[in-house]
Amino acid sequence: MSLETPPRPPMLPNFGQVRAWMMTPTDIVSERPVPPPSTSSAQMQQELAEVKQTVQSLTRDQTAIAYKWNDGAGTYTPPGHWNDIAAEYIRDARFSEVRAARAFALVNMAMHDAAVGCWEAKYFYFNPRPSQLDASIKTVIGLPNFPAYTSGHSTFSAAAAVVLSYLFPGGAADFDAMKDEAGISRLYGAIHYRSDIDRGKDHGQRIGGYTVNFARQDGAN
Amino acid sequence: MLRFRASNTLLPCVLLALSSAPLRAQTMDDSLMMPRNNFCIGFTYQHNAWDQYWEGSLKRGNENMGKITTQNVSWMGNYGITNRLNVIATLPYVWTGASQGVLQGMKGLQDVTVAVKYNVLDTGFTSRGSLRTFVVASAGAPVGDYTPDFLPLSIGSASRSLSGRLTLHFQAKPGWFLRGTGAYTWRGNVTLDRPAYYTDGQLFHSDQVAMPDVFDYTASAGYLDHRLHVPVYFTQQYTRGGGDIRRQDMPFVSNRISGPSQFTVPPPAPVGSDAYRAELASIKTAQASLTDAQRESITYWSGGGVLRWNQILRELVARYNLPPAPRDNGTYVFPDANNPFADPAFPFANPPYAARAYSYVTVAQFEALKVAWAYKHQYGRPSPSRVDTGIHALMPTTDLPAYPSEDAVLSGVSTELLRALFPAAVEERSEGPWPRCSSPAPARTAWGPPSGHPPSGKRSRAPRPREGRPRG
Repeated sequence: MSLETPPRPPMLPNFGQVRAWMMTPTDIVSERPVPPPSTSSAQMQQELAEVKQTVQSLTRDQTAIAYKWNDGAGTYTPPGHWNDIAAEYIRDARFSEVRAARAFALVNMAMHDAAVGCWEAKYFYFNPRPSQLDASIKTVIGLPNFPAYTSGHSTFSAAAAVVLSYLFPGGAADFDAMKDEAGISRLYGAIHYRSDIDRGKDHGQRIGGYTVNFARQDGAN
Repeated sequence: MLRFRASNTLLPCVLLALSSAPLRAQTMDDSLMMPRNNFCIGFTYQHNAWDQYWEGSLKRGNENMGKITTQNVSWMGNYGITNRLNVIATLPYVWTGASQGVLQGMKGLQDVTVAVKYNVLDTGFTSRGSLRTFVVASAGAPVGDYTPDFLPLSIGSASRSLSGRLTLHFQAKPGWFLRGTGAYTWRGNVTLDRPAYYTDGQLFHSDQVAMPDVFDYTASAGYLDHRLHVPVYFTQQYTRGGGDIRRQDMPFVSNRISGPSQFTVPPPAPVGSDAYRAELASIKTAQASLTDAQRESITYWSGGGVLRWNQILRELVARYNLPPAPRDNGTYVFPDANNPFADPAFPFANPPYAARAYSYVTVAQFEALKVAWAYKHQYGRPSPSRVDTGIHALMPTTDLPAYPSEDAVLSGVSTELLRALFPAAVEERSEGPWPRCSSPAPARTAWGPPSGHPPSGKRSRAPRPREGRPRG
C-alpha cells in the first residue's frame, strides 16, 4: 500500500526495532499507544469529516501553521526544527559548552526514542491516511509515505517539549504551545486525523519522561 | 487575439483575450497607446499547463502531480493621461490544480501591478513604415495573502517587484509589424511561514528569501491594424542567480563512556618550560599576521562550537533529506551506506534517520566534552591570554583551564560522527576543518550565536523569552 506513484515501499518499516537510548524493547512495546479507532467506526467517520471540513475551509493562519511545521523533504526535519528551537534557548541562557552539549544530547536522545516508538506503532497498526479513506480529500502539504497512526510530528514535538521544559522551566508554556501547534499543523495539512495527533502527543510525552528521569539523576544539577 | 476599441472618451471598452503568453503581452509590452482621457477596462483569461519540469539539468515528469494547470482571469485598466503617457494596472485571480496525486490546488487574488508607459519616439509613417519606442516602469505587490511555499501549486511568488522595460516597434504600412521588448525586474524578499529553509547548498536560518533579479525579452512579429492584432511570440526569461531544484526536492555512538580514563590525554608542557614559551611565541606570531580568512574563521566559531556544530548538522540533514527517485522501470533503489556516492546518495535523511543522527552526534559531543573538562581540571593550564599580557584573546574567554581545547575536541568527535552518518559529504570538506567557512554569513544567515537568530515569521510564532533560565 504505497502513497506514491510509481509505488514506493513504505519508509523504514523496521525502525521500531532500532535500539533506543532510554527504553528497552519491552518499554517500547509497553508504551505503544492504544489502537486507533476502527476505520469503519463512527468516531473515524467523524474524524475523517473533520479533516475534510478543515482543509476545505482552511484560514490563512492555519495554512501558515501547516507550512511553518511542514518540515518535509529537503528540510532539517521535525527533530531539526526542535534543535533550532533548543539552540535559541541554549544561546540565550549562555550555557557553557558542556552544558549546552548536555542539553542538545538530552533533547535528541528523547527524539530518537520518539522516532523508535512512533515508527513501531505506525507499522504495528498500519492505519490509512485520510486521503486513502476519502479520495476527495486533497492535502496542502506532501503526503508522507508511511502509515498515519500516530503522528510523528506530534510524538517528536511532545518528547522534545517535555525535555526542554525540564531544562528551561520558564519556557514550558511556549514549548507546550509549539508542541500543540506542530501537532495540529498535520490536521490542517489533511494528512492526519485528530486521534493520530492526540495519541502521538501522549506517547511523546511519556517517551520524553524517560529522558527527564535520566537527566534528574545524571549528577549535572 | 481580437481587440475591440471604443473611440468615445471615457466609455469603457471591452477587451477579451485568450492566450498562453505572459499577461503583460497585452498591455505593458505592446506598442498600443490609449488616447488622452480614454479609459479602457477589460479582462483576460490565461491557461497554462505542463507535465514535465527540470531538476537541475534533468527533465522529468512526476506521477504524484501529473499535469499542473495554472489559470487566471485578470482585470486590467488602462488610462490615457496624454496620447503618449498611459497608466496601466492589472490584478489577476489565479487558480492551480494537479491532475494526479493528493496535492490540493490553490486559488486567490495574486499581485497588483501598476505601470506607467511612455511613448518616447514616434517617427510617424514614412515610405518604409514607422518606428516607435516605449519605456515602461512598473511596480508589483501581492494583494492576496497567499503562501509562496507550495510550488508549483502556489499562485505566485508573493514578492514585491520593480521593473523597467524598453519596447521597439516597427510597423510597415497598415498590417505587418516587428517588435522587440525587454525588461529587467528587481524582486523584494519573500517571507515564508517557516523559520529555516535549505537552498543552493546552504541552510538559511531565516524566513526571508532573497529573490534573484529577472531579465526577460520577447520578440514578436505579426499583423496589426485597427481591428485585428495577430502576433507570434518568442519569449525568453533569465533568472540572475538562485538555486536549482535538487533531485527529488520540491520546486522550493551508542556506547556510553564510563569515565575519562577510557580516553587519555597526555599532560601539556609545563608553564614556564621552553616548549611552553615557544607555544606562546607562535600564538603571537600568528596573531601578528592574521589573514581575512583566519579572522572570518574566528568569528565563525566564537559563538561556541556546540551551537555551530548543531547548525552544521541541521544543514547536512536538510541537504540529504531527499527520497530516492524512481528508476525508469518504476522501481526504487535503497541508498547504500557502503556506496554513498551512488545514485541514490546515502543517506536519505528522513525524520527517523535524522533523529538518530542528531542524537548520536550530540551525545558523542557531550561525552567528549565531559572527558575534556576532566582533563582541563586535572592539568589546570591557564589560557594564553591569562599568562602573557602580550596575547589578546580574540574570542570570549572563561576561567576554564585551556588544555585540551574544547573546540578541538568537539571538531574531532563531530567530524568522525558526521563522516559515518553523512559519508558523501566528506569529500568537499577535505581541505580543512569540516565546515568550510566560506559562507561568511550575510545578515540573513547570521544565526551566529552572539548576534542572534533573525526574527522569524510574524505569524503565530510563540513568543520566546529573551533569557532562558540556566540550571546550575
